[in-house]
Amino acid sequence: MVRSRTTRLTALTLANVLLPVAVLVFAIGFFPFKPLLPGLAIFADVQEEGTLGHGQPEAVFDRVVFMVVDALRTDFVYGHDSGFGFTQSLVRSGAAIPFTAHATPPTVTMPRVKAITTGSVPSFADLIFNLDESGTGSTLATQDTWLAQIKAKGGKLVFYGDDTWLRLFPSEGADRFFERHDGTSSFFVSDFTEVDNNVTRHVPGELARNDWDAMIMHYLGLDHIGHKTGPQGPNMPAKQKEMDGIVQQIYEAMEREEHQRNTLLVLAGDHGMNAGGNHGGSGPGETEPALLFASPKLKDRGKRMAYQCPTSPKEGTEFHYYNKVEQSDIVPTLAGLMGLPVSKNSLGVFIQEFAGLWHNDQKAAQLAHQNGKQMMSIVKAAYGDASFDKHTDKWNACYATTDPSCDATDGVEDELAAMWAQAELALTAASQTKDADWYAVYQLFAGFAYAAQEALSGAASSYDIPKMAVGMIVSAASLALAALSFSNVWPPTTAGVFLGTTSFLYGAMMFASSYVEEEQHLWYWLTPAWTLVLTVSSLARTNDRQQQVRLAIAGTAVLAVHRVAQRWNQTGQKYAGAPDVVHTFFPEHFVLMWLLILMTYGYLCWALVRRTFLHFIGPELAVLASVALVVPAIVFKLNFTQADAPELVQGLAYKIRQWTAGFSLVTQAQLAFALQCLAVVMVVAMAVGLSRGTVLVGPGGPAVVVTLAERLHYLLTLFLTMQSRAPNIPLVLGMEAQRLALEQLLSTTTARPTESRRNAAISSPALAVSTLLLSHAYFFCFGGSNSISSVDLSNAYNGVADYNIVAVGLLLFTSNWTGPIWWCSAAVTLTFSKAREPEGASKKLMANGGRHWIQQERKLLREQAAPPRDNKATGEEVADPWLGYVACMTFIIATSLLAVMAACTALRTHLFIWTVFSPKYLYAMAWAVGWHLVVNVGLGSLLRWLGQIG
Amino acid sequence: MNPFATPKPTDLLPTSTSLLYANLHPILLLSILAFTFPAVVADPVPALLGLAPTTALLQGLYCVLCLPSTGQSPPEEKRKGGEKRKAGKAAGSQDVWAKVVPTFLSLLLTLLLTTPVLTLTLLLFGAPLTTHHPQTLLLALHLALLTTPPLYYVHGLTSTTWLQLASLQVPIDEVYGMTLGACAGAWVGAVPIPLDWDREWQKWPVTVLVGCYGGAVVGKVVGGWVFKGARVKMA
Repeated sequence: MVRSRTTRLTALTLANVLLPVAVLVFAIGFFPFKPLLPGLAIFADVQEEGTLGHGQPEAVFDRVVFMVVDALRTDFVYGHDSGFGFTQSLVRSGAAIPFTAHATPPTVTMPRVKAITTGSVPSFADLIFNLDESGTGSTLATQDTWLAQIKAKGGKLVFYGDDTWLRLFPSEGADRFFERHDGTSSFFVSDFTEVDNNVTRHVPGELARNDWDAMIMHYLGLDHIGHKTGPQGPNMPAKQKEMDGIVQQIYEAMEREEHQRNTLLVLAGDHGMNAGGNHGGSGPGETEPALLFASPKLKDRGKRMAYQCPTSPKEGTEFHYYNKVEQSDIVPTLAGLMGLPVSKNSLGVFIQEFAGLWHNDQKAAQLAHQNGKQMMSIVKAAYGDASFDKHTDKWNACYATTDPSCDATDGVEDELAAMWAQAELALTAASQTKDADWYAVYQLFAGFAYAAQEALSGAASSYDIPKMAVGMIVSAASLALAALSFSNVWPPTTAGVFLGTTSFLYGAMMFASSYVEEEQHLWYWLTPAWTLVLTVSSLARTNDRQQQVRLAIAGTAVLAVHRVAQRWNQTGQKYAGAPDVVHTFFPEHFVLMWLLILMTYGYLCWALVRRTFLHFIGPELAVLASVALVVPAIVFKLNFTQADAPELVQGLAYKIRQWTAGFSLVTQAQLAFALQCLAVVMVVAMAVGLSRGTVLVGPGGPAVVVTLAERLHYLLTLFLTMQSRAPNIPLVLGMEAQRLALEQLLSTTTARPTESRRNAAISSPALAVSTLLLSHAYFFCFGGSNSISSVDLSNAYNGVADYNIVAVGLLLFTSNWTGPIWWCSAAVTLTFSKAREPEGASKKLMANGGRHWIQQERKLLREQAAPPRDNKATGEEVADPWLGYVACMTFIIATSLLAVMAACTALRTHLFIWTVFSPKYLYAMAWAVGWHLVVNVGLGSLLRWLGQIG
Repeated sequence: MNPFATPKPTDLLPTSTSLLYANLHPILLLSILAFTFPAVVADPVPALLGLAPTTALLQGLYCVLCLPSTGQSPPEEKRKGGEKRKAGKAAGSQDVWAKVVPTFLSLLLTLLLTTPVLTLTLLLFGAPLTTHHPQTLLLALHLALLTTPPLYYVHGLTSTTWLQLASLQVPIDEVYGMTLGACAGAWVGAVPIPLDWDREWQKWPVTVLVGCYGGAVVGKVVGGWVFKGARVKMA
């Protein structure tokens, strides 16, 4: 059964229109917008006149030093190898209370700062805003935070450190949050010292002043050391000692200075780090930052526990020290200690260890009651006022009559209502008796608060299942349409079977969290098998011994490059931080790395001269133009690497860095980009002009020496090297070798036709499978993974001075999908066959010194174009491979999207839904919309069309 | 021998010993693997080294007892009617040494030629590059023992035949099926390694080894019974 081209084209277009619709509809249902309670909390909201009166428990502290150390994992402070000697002595003396604070994923700074300040659990959508540098989409200016509460009370705040805070809390204008501030950018993680010195230099001055109520500091150095060298890095102990020194400085000021008597020091990590020093997901260590409260006043508290320090983590865990609390618990605890209303959206619970500070159980019970009441308003917002009241009334009636039928609770809401009713009853009873057991009342309200925290932090509450179902139905429709757009399904080809198997395996894999985390293995495993199939089937097509040897070498080359590329960047969760080329080998052999990079650029230079500019400008000019294009790119990469990873730049490279120090990185990148744009415009104009003057070459026209698609391929490669981290640039050489090898392997005709046609004789499913496998494999080889922590932001701001969401989004995508974008362009070049130049044709051209090249080339094209006119039938023999290619790609993208959606829906109550499956959905969105629609369908088709006309 | 002749599927020697052992062979292969499995999991290198001679012996016996050696396969035109039986009888009564020597050579070639080639192939297909070299080498030895001794024994060393074998242009039979099965099994055997089950047997190269043996047995049985004479078509 062979379908007509019109049917296929219509089905394919519809399938691709439906894809983004499916992505969007499902996303809206899956990442629901969380309603926020507006306005600032006031005491009247939560006070209970009848029982506890208007008075509040007096504030224990009136000032707070909130010291955030980025990525401060628990063992850094409490462990035996810690550099926090002084802090540990505080813990032993009872002046500091230590905790492990659970950080809910995504464990990146911005959502964590939101949790620490608002007490809410940030929605997953905040992750996207974490990349949004403008800060307009995600500001906390109007939300209820403990900062806003201090400000509302008339207090003053100062801030030093990571400028994420300044984006969250407006620092300019009339209603600015901070009296004084000094932000530092965390852009280059190679900076271990400046970022911290910039904070520390303000500390002595601020400690001497008494005009502030809260000083917030956010130290970045420790996180940078983690990213660079891992948690065991050589700079880590010194950095820990440095941070310990800050704690000591502040604590001693609290003992010494009269105006710091009532100051509380909070030392907190915003998140932890994994064994590789990265964070973002929910791996061991990432969710376990340290949290410590310190003040001399803490020694005097009731029911005081003694802590050992240093100590070992709890049995069976790696990073669980002391009691575990939620990060959001900081908010009600600070509020209680400083006499502030608890922020409205806080899901935190007042930490029990501090209840003893008042030496009065009634006051503790009052705090717990207010904490519970504040949380109940969120419970009511989640379940509905009327519904919750009905449940509470039922339980009130039950407790009044002691009806035995009321024992069993039915569902989470009912259980919360029962706990609340019971606590309220106990409160009323206690307020009417003398010497009541207020501690029991405290326990009841705290119990309610913990239950509410668990229920409300849970993910399962608020999916929009119908929308998710619609999203799945639409992507299933897209899949069916993609299947319709195949020219024929039966009999199946080897490539078709392979494509089907890959889709099935990939889809099945999406339901296993460990395979989602280790997705690279699928592609690393399928690619060699496919290479073997391709080699073997191409060997079977020829009897020419020389050709067979060539094919065997080509197959081996693809395999060998693939094997080395696999080890370039270690990725995945299971073996994160294991040795690889980029992180283990290159730091020791950086000269070799730069040699490889220079080789890559040397090759690109050659390709620009011999391919991109061939026949357009004279060879001398072409060399000049290529050098002018490549050198700014190299210089930019050098300077960028110097800033990003200075350990990789030494010697001569360092000198070049000094010569060009006058130009900012932004200017350098802009210059390189501008030159590349100019070259693209020039090449397109010349190629179109050239083909216009000759017979117009449409689909099925004669082969030309270099198609416009190939000319542009090298310019695109140059751009993509600018968007990769320097150690990844040599991979381009490997990919280029694989492309040339594939050209051999994919060609289905071995007997060379007498007429050279523009379209290569290749099977489009085979091309699609090759591109698909290599695109995905290289996504992981370049260091990508399905975890949020592996998103590489470092090249997202190349040449961008002011934040511009379109430019940054585009650069971010190109810097993380470098390999897949490159392979799309490579696939386009593979659809064209190489023209065999008539003997001496190019020599003739060159002999003229490049002059009259247009006439020469036109003549050449005319000569080549002439014969097919007599013989039109042969022109139809080779079908357009691009349509089939896009059909295959649409098919597999629709399958994978459907599978990810189904996995997210089926496993929506799974423990890992927010840490494994949701990030995977974000990646699936990027693959479907960014890579498939924009790159394959958009850019690929454009290049294909350009290749046909020029 | 005409270099472009397509080989015929190999028939087993039609003796009762041959048939008995041909059916016993897969059971024996699986048994020795099952028997040594705990040792392989505990410490792969000595266990694999210890297992290799047994596998070699079983494969050697298979060649000697069940397979016609290179020159021995009677040409097609003579294979008619009653003559077939006669030829079989002749083969059965052949001098044992005429079979043991080619078997020994086949095993030697397997050790010296196939094993290094397969080691490289395993590395290209994703075996650890910088660690576990003894394990990979021994795995390649086992894969080689399972795949090539019968092939050398039956097809000899003609480059054309080997090229046809490599490009799947040979009809399927027991011997070829076993080879393809072992290779496919080795490939499939890598699947459980990245799973987060944290079992000892997930370590390199246990699962791949099991895949080789399982694949070889499945390939031998399926190749000998179901797909005999079929050709792999790639389009």
